Amino acid sequence: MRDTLSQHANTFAGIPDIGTRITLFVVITFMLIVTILLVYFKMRESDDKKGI
Amino acid sequence: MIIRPSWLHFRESSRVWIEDRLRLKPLIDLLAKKLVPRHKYSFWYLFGGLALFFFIVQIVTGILLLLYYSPTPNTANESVRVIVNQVSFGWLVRSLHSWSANLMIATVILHLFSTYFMKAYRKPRELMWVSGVFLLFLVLGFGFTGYLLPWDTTAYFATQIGTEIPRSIPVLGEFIVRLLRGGEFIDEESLKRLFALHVVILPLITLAVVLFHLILNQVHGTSIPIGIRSLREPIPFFPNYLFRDAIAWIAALILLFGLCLIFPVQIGPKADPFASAPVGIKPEWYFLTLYQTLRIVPAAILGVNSETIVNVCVGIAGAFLLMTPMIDRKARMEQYSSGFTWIGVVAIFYVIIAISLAYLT
Repeated sequence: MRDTLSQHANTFAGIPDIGTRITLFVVITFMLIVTILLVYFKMRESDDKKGI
Repeated sequence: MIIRPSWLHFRESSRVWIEDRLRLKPLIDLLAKKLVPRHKYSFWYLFGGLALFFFIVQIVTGILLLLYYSPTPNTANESVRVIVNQVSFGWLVRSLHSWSANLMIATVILHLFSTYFMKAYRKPRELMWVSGVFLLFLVLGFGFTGYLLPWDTTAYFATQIGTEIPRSIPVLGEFIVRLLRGGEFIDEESLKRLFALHVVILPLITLAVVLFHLILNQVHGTSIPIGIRSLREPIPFFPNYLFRDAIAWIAALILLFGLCLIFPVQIGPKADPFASAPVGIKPEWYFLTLYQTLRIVPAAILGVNSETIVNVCVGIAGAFLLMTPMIDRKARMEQYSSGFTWIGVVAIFYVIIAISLAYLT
């Protein structure tokens, strides 16, 4: 097991470059902001029902 | 005749199916009964929920890491390398685990300080405060026990220094060091012990204390600071405040992904116990106050070892935190206790100055 682990560990694929990571961050942020907007509209709807 | 869209029919029939089997209505009614006050400091209420959110992220990412991690000195470092280099998105899961741990500790500290300054520990919420202080100790314990697990040079020698500190505690010191290390030195036994503490013992205790904290929060509701008049109507926790919590959680997720993707967590070279400790080794930011205090206190005061003095002072500070609701008599009588506020302000300044000095020197 130790040999297999060492062989795997030394074959570097690892952390992607900064360009790929920033692209991933932009995509994730966009999706999460859309989710925030959807939750916000549900919150407003719920507040309106309670007269808040 | 009104024709309802099929998805609305499906949603309603699903709700009825779940309600018939789980009987959740009493629980939802109970959550809706809890009201959250609205005033100029209401923003600080979000931090309790955020700490819980980061704890959930810790559990989920921790379980994923557990699938590949191997807790022996020969394989620990390699298994973390496999996670980072070979497993799909393993580097991201490890970064999420590490960064959310830091954010969890930061939000627990912020939640504790905001509760302290709003005097939310006063009657009848004393046990909520005590359980909250225990949760702070527990999350610091998570940080300490998780640090050695990658078995890299920094982790190894930092843990060696960290586990040496309790040795000067009067009476119990030697016992605590041996309990943490499983012997005299940091070796396989220490790794196994800290691993067991990190993935089983501390999570079980934390889950129990979190549950206790949340039940008390539901029973007593949210406290309003002394002298603050709520000008607006309080809002029900469910669903209205939960939506606000959800927005804060998603915003926290954006911050978490940002940190992980811009500053992914790296792994150092495998620890060599026979090598000399690297120069300038420092603990994580949440232990820097203790580290800097040990550096500025003279080696011995009146013949007493500085580590003993600092350990006793840390014990007194911990006891003060736990006993605050019992000591602050003014707050118990719904009067504003400015002395306790000043103690908190001095503590914040000391922590900030100590951390800054530790980074700069």
